[in-house]
Amino acid sequence: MQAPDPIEAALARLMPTAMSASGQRSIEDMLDGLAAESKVVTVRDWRRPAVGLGIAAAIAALVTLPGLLKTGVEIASSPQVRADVASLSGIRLVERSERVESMSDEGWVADPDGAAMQAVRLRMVSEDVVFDDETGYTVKVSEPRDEILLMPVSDF
Amino acid sequence: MAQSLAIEWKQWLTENGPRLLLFARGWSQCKQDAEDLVQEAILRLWHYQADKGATPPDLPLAFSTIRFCGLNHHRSETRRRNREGSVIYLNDFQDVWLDPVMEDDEEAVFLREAVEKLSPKLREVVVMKTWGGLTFAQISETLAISPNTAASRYRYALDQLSHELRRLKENRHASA
Repeated sequence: MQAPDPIEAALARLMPTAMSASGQRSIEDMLDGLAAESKVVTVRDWRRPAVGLGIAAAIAALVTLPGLLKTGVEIASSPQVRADVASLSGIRLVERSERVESMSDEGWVADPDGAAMQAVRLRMVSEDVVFDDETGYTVKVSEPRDEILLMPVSDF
Repeated sequence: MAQSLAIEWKQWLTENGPRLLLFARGWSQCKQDAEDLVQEAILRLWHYQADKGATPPDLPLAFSTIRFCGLNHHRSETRRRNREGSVIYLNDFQDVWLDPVMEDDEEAVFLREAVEKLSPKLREVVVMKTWGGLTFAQISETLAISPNTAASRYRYALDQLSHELRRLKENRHASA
C-alpha cells in the first residue's frame, strides 16, 4: 500500500475557516425568503387546466412572435421581450431568475488581437414566473440561450 | 413544507459552507466578497434545484456554480478595466483562508500561506480534492478539463508545495 504523501498529510491538518456570523445569517435569511416564495409559486388552481394552457400559449406567443421578425439569437437574449411579459395588463411578474443549465469547454481560440483565450459555452436559462390576475393561474416562461465566455489564458 | 426545505438547506450550508467559502476565495479579493459569491451561487442553485425536488445540490455542482459566478465577476471586472487587469486574484488580504488552529506549527503556517500563493488553476484543484473530497473525475467535470489534467495539476501543486517547504527548512537551518 502506498504511503500518503507527506504534503497531503500536512494539508489534511488544515481546515477551511468558517463563514462569518453575518455572512451565514445573510444566506440563511435568503433561504427563508426563497422557501416562503416557493410556497406561493407552487399553489396552482387545476380546475380549469385548458384555460391555463391557453394563457401559457398566449404568453409564449407574445414572447415569440416579435422575435420571429428578427433573428433566433435576438429572441433568446432580448431583454425587451422579457419586459413585455411583465407589462401585459392583468399579468404580474412574480419572480425573475437566470441560471446556468450546463457548461462545456470549447477549447482555445484567438481573440481579434491574437491573444489565446479559453472558450466556455454556457447554456443559460432565463425564467419569468407570472401571475394572471383574471384566472389566478401562475405561469412559468423559460427562455434558454447559449453564451460563449472567453477567458484569457495566462498560465498552465 | 417551506420551513423544512429551508432547514434542509441551512443544514447543508452549515456542513459545506467553509469549503465553499474556501473555494470562493480563489475568485475574490477578500472574505466578504467570497461570502457574497457563495450567497449568489446558493441563490442560483436554489432555482436550479427547484425542478429537481428542491433538495440541496451535490458538492461538485456547488463548486461549479461558484466557479461560474466567479467567472462572471471576473468577466465584468475585466471588461471594466478594458482587459488590462485580467488577473484580479489574491492580492491584498489580511485574513487567512484556512483555520489558524495550527498557528504554533511553523510548517502548517507556512503551508497555509503557500496554498494561498498557488496559481488559481492549481489551487482550485487542491481545494476541491483536499477539502471538498472530490474525485479527479468530479473535478474534471467541474472545471471542464480532462481527469488527467486535473490529476496533473494536483501533483504539480503538491510538488510546488513540497519544494517551498524544503526551501523554508533549508533557510531555517542556514540561519540557525
